[in-house]
Amino acid sequence: MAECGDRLHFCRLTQLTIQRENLMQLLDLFTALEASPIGAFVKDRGATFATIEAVHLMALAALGGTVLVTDLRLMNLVLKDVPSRRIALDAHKWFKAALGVLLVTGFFMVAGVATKCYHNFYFWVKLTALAAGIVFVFAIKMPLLRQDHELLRPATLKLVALASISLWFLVAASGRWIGFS
Amino acid sequence: MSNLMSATRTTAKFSPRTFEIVAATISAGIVLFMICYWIVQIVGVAHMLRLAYG
Repeated sequence: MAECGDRLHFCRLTQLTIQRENLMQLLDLFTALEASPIGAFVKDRGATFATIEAVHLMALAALGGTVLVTDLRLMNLVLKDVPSRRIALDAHKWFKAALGVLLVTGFFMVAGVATKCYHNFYFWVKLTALAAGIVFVFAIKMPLLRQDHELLRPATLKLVALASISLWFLVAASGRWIGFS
Repeated sequence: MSNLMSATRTTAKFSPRTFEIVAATISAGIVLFMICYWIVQIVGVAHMLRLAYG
């Protein structure tokens, strides 16, 4: 019995060691990113970070605009005279463009302050929400919205819109929170 | 037309009705999670403010 307990304890210790080594590798990756020429370029030149952040925020505004116009239309709150399917499909093109700009500028912004971001809880909240948002849009929301909206239940459209708004709000809010924590 | 074909391709594994139910369930899960998350955040901030200012 005691031997079994010792073995379990050993397995748990081994598992914890592996987890810690994986985390250390991730920290090494972030440290290397900050020390890289990209990180140095963003950090050492005064206006670089501010310029990249300005573009990042403009892309965030564009992405927020596409999300709001699509989701508020699905909730039947705005642009009631335009078919919701047409709005969803048109806005999605701009959504993809804004998302591309956000990901590229976001990578450069992280490169400048990578180790700070690594230790920031809200950075990981943002990344998780971002990943969930991207998967939700491309795997759930858009395949659903490409169908004829007349055949879908209004409650489903409203629920999808609410989930989408809340996910992207969390991405934006936790992004701002990184700067204040 | 291509969008309609794309939608048909994506939802080919499920019938449109099943896909709608899956989408509604996942969306409801996300909304519930968000409600819990923001309640925890607001309670946490309120607790910190109470600690800081009595």
